[in-house]
Amino acid sequence: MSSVTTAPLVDVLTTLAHEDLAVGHVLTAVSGFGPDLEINIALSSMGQDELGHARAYLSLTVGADRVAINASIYDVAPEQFRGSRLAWWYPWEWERLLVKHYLYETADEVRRAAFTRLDAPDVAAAVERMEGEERYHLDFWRTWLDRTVKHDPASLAKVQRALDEAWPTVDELFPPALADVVTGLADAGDSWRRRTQGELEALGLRCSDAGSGLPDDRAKIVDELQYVRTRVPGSW
Amino acid sequence: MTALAAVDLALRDEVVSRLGSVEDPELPISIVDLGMIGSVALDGGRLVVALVPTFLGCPAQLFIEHDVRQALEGLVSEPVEVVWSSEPWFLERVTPLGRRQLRDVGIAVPRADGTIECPHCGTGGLVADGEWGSTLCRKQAFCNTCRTPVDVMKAPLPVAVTLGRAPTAR
Repeated sequence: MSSVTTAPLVDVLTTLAHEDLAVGHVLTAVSGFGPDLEINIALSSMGQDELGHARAYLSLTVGADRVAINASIYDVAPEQFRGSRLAWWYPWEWERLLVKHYLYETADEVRRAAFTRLDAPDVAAAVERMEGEERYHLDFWRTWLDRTVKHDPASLAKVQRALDEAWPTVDELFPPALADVVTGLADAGDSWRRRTQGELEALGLRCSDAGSGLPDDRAKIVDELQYVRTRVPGSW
Repeated sequence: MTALAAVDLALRDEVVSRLGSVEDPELPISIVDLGMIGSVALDGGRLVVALVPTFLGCPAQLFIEHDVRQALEGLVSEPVEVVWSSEPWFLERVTPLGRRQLRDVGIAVPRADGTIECPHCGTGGLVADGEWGSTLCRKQAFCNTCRTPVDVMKAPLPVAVTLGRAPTAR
C-alpha cells in the first residue's frame, strides 16, 4: 500500500518525476558531447539512471503498472508536464551541460533529503535508493566542472556564460508547492543557494540574477519523447 | 500478504528453484545468485514476487519481469505479480556461486573490504579506470599484473540521506 495519499504530495512527486524524465532524456540524447568514449558512456548511464528515477517516482503516484506509467508520460499533452526550466533545458554545449547538471544535481540532493522527513515510508525508501546512484553523478559533475573552469580562461568564460543563463532560474528548483509539502525545504533551498554560490565563486564564477535566463525547451523535449509513440501507434 | 516460507515450504522451494533458471539478460547468472529476489509472498491465491533491481534505470527489468512470470506460470491458479522493491541492492547480495560464475566470465565482484581480485590472474593488481561501464551495474578496471581490462560489478553507494547536509566531498 502506497503512503502517497495526498494530492499535494502526488503533485510534488509528479513534478520531480517529470524533471528526472527530462534530465534523463536530454542526457542520453547528448551522449557524445564528452571527450572520450568512457565519458560518453557515463553520460548515457547517468541518463538511464535518471529515467529509472522518474519511473520510481511515477510508480509511487500512478502505481507499479508499466502500461499506466508509460501512458502518464507518452499519452499526455505537453502542457501537463511540470518542472523547472533548468530541468527542461537542452544545453547544446559541454559547458552548458556542466552548469545544468551541477546546479540540478546539487539541488536535487537537497530535495531528496527533505523527502526522508515526510511520513511516507515508501517515498523515503525510494529516495534513499536513488541517493546511492546519484552520488556517482554528483562526483562526476563536480569533477568535470572543476576541471573545465580551471583549464583555461576561454573555458571559464564559457562556463560563466552558461551560469549567467541558468542562475536566474534556480529558484524554480524549490517552488512554493514543494515547500508547502515538505517542512524545512524552503530553508534548505535558501541554504543550498548560498552554499552553491560560495562553491561557484570559489571556482572564479559569479552568480547573477541579472543574466539572460533560459529558453523553455519543454515543447521540443516532449515532442522527442512522444514522437514515435504518436506517429507509429501500436508498432513499438 | 503472507511470506511464502510461513505457509508452504514446498511451494517456496519450487519457486526458488524455478527463479534459479531466470538469468539477468546482461549477466550470465541467475537473478537468485545476483541477489535480486527481495521476497516471495502469497496474497490470497496470488504469488507476489518482489525483485530488487541492481540500479533503478536498468533496462533489463522488463525482460526479467517477463521471464519470472513465465518461469512461475502454472504454480498457482492466479497470475503471478512481479513488483520492484526499493530495498537496497549491494554487492554482498551476490551469492558465492554467483561470484564464481561472474569470475568465470571475467567479471570481478569486490569483496566487503573493498579489495578486488582479478578474475583472469587472481591477483589484486586492479586499478580503477572510472566509475562507468558497459552496463549500469559495472565499471571498468585494469589489471596491472596480467595487463587485462576487467569489468567490475558496481552497486549504488550505501548512503544515509539527511536534510541540509553539506555538499558531497570529492
